[in-house]
Parts: sequence; C-alpha cells; structure tokens
Amino acid sequence: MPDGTATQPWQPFGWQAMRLEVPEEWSLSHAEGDGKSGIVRLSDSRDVRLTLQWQANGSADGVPVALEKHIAQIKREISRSPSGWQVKRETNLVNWRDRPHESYACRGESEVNGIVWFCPACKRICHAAISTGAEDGAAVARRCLKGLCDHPTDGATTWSFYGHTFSIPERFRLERPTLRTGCLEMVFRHRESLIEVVRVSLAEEVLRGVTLIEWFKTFYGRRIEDFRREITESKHRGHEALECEGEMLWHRRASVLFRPYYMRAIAWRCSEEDKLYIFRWSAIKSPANEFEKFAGKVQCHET
Amino acid sequence: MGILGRKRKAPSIDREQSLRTIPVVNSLLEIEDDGSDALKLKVPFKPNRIFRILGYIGPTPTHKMVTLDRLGAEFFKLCDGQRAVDEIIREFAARHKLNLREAELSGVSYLKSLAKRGIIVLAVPEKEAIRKEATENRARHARRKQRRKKRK
Repeated sequence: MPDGTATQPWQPFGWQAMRLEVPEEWSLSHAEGDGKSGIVRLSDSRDVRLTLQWQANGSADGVPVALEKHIAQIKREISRSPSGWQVKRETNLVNWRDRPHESYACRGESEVNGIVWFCPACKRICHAAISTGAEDGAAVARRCLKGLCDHPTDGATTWSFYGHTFSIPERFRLERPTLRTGCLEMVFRHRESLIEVVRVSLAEEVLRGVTLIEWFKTFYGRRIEDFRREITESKHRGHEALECEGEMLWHRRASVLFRPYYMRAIAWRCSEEDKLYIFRWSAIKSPANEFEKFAGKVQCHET
Repeated sequence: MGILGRKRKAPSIDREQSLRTIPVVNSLLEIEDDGSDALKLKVPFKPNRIFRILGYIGPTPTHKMVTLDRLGAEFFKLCDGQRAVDEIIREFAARHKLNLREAELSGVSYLKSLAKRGIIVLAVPEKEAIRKEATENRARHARRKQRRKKRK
C-alpha cells in the first residue's frame, strides 16, 4: 500500500452492530442511543476522528435526503468559520455494490471524508465522517470503511472498544453500559435473560492479598446472593479461573413469576493482559451450549 | 484579584495543551520512603485565617501528611519535572497494560488532585505564538522608548 495506513497499527471497533477497523490511537469518547438510532464518536489525543451515526427504518431513497440534510448543516457551520472550507460531493470514497451510498469531502484546516449509506440487511441509514489531520485523509477513511460491517453476522453481534472484544447473541439488546476507568461493564437483556460482560484492569493490584474466588464474591456480592450457588475453581484458556452456577432461591423469584431462574458465570484472570474478565448469563432455562460458545468469544490476550 | 475586588478568570487551556503540561513536584515537600509500597508526603501547610488566629493561642500545624498508595506512589515518581502529562500517562499505561484512554482519564484526575493538595504544580509550556507576541511587544516598547528619548 503506498499510503501510510499500512505502517500504523490498527484495531477493531464494534458498537451496536457497527464494526470496522480504526487506527490504534482512536478510542471511544462518546456513545449515545441504541440499536435503532444512535451515535458514537472516536477521538485521539487531539480531536474527534470518527463519527458514526445510524437511524433505523430507513430506505435506499433516504440516502440523498440524509446527505442533503447533512451537507446543509455543514454549510451552516462553515459560514460561521473564518477559514475557507470547501465541500465536494461524489468523491468515490468506496465502491460498495450491495449498499446504496453517497460520499462527500470537506477540506479546510483539516480534511473530513464522509459517507451516507443504507444497509438493506438491517434497514438502517448510516453516516460515517472521518476527520484526519494528515494529508492522506482519504486513504485512512478508505481503510476504515474497507471492512465496515453494519449488521450482526452469524446470529451474533460483536462489540469492541478500548481493546475489549466480545460477541453476544443477536437477540440481546444493550441495557446498561458502564464505562469506568479500570472497569468496563456491559449488561445486555433479552426478555428475562441477562448477559453481563465485565473487564477489570490492574488485576495484579486488585487480587493483592485475595484469591480470585474471594474477589468474585465481593465484586458480585449482591448480584449473586439471591442464588443457591456453587463456585468451583477451573481453567479457562490456560488461565486461573472460576465457574459459578446456581438457581435463584424460591422466595426471591417474584420478578420472574416464581419460575426457576438460573445463573451461570465464568471469571478468569489473564496474566498476559493483567486483566480480570467475567461473563455471566442469567436465564429461565439453563444456557448450556450458548454459554460455552459466547464465553469463549470474550477475547483476552492475543494467542 | 482584579479591579473592584473581582476575581480574575484563570486562563483556560485546551485538552492538547493540558496533556503537554509538565508536573513539577513542590520543592518544599518532604518525602518519607519507608521501603514499603506506600509513600508518605509531608506537604507544607498554608494556615488560613482561623489557623492564624489559633496561632496566637498555641502552636498550629505547619505540615499536612498525605499517604499515597502503591499505584499513586508509582505515578508520583514518574513526575520528574522533565516529562509531560502525556508522556507520564503513556509510560503508566504501558507498564500496567492499560488502554491509553482509560489511563488518561484516571491519570489526569489524579494529577489534578495532587495539584489541589499542593503536592505538584502543572507547568504550562508557553505557546510559540504567545512567546512571539511577547517578543514583538518588548521590541515595540523599546522602539517607543528610543523615540521618546530622541524627542527629549
């Protein structure tokens, strides 16, 4: 590749079924909305570099309308800016055959390459704007959009941010994202079923003077106290791990109409990454096969 | 304080500039390293009005003790007066395999808390433009002075 995109390290990014590759320095700085409509922004130490926006219930005819609206907004902003910006349409940023799309570019102090497209599979109208300070802005944007996927594949939705990558079944929707420093906690729900994916950084520090089981009991104390549970030590991908399985106590089942409610969790410590991971699944039926499959999709170290 | 006792607004700096600031340790600070992971800092205490009044009655504290935990101490030791905030955060993130963004958020807030306690001072590097403007101003001022001298 003649441009500089081949030399810099890239990483995957995935949010609400949007999946693409971005430079390693770009990380999630803002997230809003749900699977139907929402926006995410990725930024580096200087500025916002990527804005991804999506809106459900769209059609192929909506692409020019959405682009027109967006360009009108850009022009309004440009009129306030002292430096001379130029907007150019039909820049042939990508050549997608399966998705109707229109691209544009804004050039001024920096370069913004954007594209609006309609995905026939998920019926969403999406907009991506990639801003780069570098000269090869279009090349970076092309590389970002090259592997872009905007809907779940093989019945699973992949999430990837801050170097944390995992997949969950397509039917689950994000209920609560908690993105704290050192602790990323994502809760997904489908009817009464719940999936929780947790990543805790600085494992060495967290486990200083306590065992993994002791830490798990403290960390998950309240959330597992309603279950008659059994915690056993095990191994996961060669890491020190624990498995927790249990059934909700009968007098606590009011929320699910006294039906049996099961919980299964696996927690492990990845020494290579110095991180702790938890994958927990609570459901009315014991999630045997799917649990194994999706717990295995929580990525820790590269090997 | 400005005219009519109004408090002057502190000059604001953007994110990029704040990451380029250099944390400098308070020279009056006394560091007690007892070999353990934690670090004890003896920070000079500036007495407020109440303490000054109490000072007439009896002795008042001159220092306050701040104990930094293992990670805090490690972060503090990285503040050598040479490295910028950005470099410190990168170093800390690499040591503990943290995501840069995660490390930045916690690192910046930790440095702010250290600055608030008077343990460090964040030195803002002068912008090239500001420096240039100051030089030009000085030169203009010198020219004016010379003109005045000539007239006299």
